[in-house]
Amino acid sequence: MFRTCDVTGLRVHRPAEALIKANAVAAVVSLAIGGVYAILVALSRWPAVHLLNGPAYYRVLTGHGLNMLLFWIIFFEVAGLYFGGAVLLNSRLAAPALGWLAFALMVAGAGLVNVMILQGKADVLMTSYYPLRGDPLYYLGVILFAVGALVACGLFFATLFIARKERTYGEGSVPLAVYGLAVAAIIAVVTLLHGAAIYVPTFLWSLGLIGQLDASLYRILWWAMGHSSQQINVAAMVSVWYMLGALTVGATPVNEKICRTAFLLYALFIMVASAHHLLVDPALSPAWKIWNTGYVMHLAILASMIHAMSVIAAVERAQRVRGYARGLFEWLARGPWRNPGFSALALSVVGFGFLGGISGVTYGTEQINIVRHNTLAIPGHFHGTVVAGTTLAFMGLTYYVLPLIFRRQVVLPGLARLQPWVFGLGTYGLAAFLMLAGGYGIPRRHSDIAFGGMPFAPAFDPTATMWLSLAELFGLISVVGGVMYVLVTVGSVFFGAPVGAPAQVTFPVSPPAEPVPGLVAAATAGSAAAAERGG
Amino acid sequence: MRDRHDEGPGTPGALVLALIFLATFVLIYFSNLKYLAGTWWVR
Repeated sequence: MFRTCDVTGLRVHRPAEALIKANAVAAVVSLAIGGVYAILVALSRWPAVHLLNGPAYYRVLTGHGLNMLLFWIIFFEVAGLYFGGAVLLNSRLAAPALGWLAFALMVAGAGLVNVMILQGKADVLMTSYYPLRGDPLYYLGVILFAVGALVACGLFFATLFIARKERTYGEGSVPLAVYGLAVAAIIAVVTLLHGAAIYVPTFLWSLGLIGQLDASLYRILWWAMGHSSQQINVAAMVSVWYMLGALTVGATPVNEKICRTAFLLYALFIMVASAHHLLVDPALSPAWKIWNTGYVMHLAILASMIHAMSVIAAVERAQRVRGYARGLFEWLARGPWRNPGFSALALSVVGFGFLGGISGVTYGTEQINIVRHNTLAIPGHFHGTVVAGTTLAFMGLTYYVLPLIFRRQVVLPGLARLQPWVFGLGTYGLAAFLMLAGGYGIPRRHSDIAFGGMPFAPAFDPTATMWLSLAELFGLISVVGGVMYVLVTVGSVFFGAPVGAPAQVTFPVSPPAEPVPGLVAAATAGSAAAAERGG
Repeated sequence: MRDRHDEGPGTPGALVLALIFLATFVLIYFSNLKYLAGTWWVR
């Protein structure tokens, strides 16, 4: 039932391991499908190419959004929940058979949604705003996927209960990464319940069993699910940051109480941030909008800023303990930059903070939102958060999931080293140039900024065309980074040499960098590493 | 739960990076002030 990990010494529950593998594979498959849609979206929005127009464009945009924002990320998060709940806590997973039922529901749901989209029966975009009507099977697919994810969250909580009861992880609270995953799972439950509250009536309406829905209530409930689902990503991504810091340089949080408090801020306040999607909605009062986005939302933003500083401080502290203590930034310059886990961590933190974070706070202000809301600036923002932030962090963790869970060496290590940089460069450019194009008023969710040659076509500044073209060019570079990721992961699973000892792990797992009194004194005074090198 | 703020070396580099982030944030946010002009708190 259990095996002992050859590298970390953790007890691994074999049924949990099988479920982690299945969900991770489904995640990568979803990413590959979403990537194909991404190519078509980029080539359609590139003014010089303009591949698809009209319904075909909306079809691929719908598929891109659902596969990337829901299927890739939630499959990976479910794998993360099983890893955090069972493996990190040395526990058995509760009811693995239910885990397989959840997986089957999620695969069936994702498959159904993709088939409906490809058949042209759900050109409704990800939001499927009422009264746009998709095929009932499309809504059923989303519901099946959500129910499967909800069951997986339940299994995670049951596993936490078992681990606590059987004392598999000693005394005290769970490790910080598991704590963060628990917060992600709490947000997920609330998100999925809101999803049920809106998708079930919409499904019944699409079947003709309900006469009509309230369009403004639809928007509120949909975004209570739609944006909250991205907050699951934020909490899970921050947990992955802490994991990557620990795995790559042996980082441990400088102050765990602060980190846990910041996670609590997410659980309490982050979902209210969903209101910023409705800042231009005529059905809601300015007071409601300003209260939710001008005040409460910032408590969740505060949490992200605490985490970003905390992760960087933990890495700095670990590096200084190891002796890289000269000046302000030797610890950074001497980081393991050839380890894709570390480079993905660094690029994810910077991308999430500088591109996604700053733009999110700025565009989440009501008065600014009025001029940015329906422009490409918003897709620019969320490609900074979800792609440069979450996706890059998950990609970085994959380079450890492969040896520790799949027990395979990473094939093509040179490609793996390069992958976060190519994906990061592409995504940074995509996000930044989309925001610049949006600043010139280029509309979002629109394949043709010339409006099909209509006589009232708006005249955009020619600079906007340059930003838009650059955005799509960098989007394609991002796709290249994604292809590299899929090549390495699929290649490693099928052709990687088995891992049976720590030395066989392609990118080494760092032991914890615990402060040693003598070394701390040296690290505080100067550079022990420099002294070792005779410098 | 371990609390280690009094153990090990300090983290001045992280502090400098955080200040760079805050400066960038303030610069970008307030460069949008033209859109806020006329609201009750920007007069």
